Amino acid sequence: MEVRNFLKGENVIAVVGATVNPEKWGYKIYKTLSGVFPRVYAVNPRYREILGDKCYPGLKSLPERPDTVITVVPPRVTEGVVKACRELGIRKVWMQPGSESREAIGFCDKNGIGCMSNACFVVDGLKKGFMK
Amino acid sequence: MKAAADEGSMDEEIMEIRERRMKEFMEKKEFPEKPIEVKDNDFDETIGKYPLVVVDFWSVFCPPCRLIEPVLEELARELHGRAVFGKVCVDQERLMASKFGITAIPTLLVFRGGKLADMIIGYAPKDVLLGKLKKHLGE
Repeated sequence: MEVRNFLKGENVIAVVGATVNPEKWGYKIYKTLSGVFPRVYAVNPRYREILGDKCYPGLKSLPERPDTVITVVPPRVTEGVVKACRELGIRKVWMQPGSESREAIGFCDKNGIGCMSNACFVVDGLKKGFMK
Repeated sequence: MKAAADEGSMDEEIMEIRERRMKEFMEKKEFPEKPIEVKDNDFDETIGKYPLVVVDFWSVFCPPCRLIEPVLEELARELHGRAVFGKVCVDQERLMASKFGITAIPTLLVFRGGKLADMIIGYAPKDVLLGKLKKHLGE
């Protein structure tokens, strides 16, 4: 699947593993994407709010179905996330390197979920101009 | 008489072949055997200098970028004289990354005759990359 399909401007995006810690990728990715895309949701059961936005405990509690889910969580958590994606009919999952596992990738392949796991978002120090 | 004429034309042919090989050798010598560092300010010059240039946009913080690095080094050696490989570190060089709308790394941009011909996003093993580059190598 083309990378642009994951990041179309009209896509609803959920960042699973969004966090309040500015040192973590979950923070950098959420911050960058929420500054660029109109509908980006933070998902993490640990927080109620991230960067002043509501943070949701899981994909099922989001107000709308995401087009793309980005995982910034340990691989075993990603394995649960992809199962939730199948249940909810989510067709695109981008696993930030380090959050992927063979099982999660295999599950996506078997269930027709487009999966990206071999590239990093350009976020650190890079601004809106990159997310066209 | 005819044999002498044949010999003469053969000599010319051999000379032509020698010259052509010498030219090819000299041209090949100018091709770097390793990926070269490319910066925003010499980007255009680099992609215009060689017939086929593959530029890798990467970051030190990106694990797949580190995975693809030795693959590109191997390809640069194997395709020496046919393609040149360059590297742009997006942590420092942001202008070209922005110009080409790089949203994920590693991204390889393939330039043929100085013009963008292809974009390959994400880590891929050597055989896959070679397969994607073949069409640009005229194979």
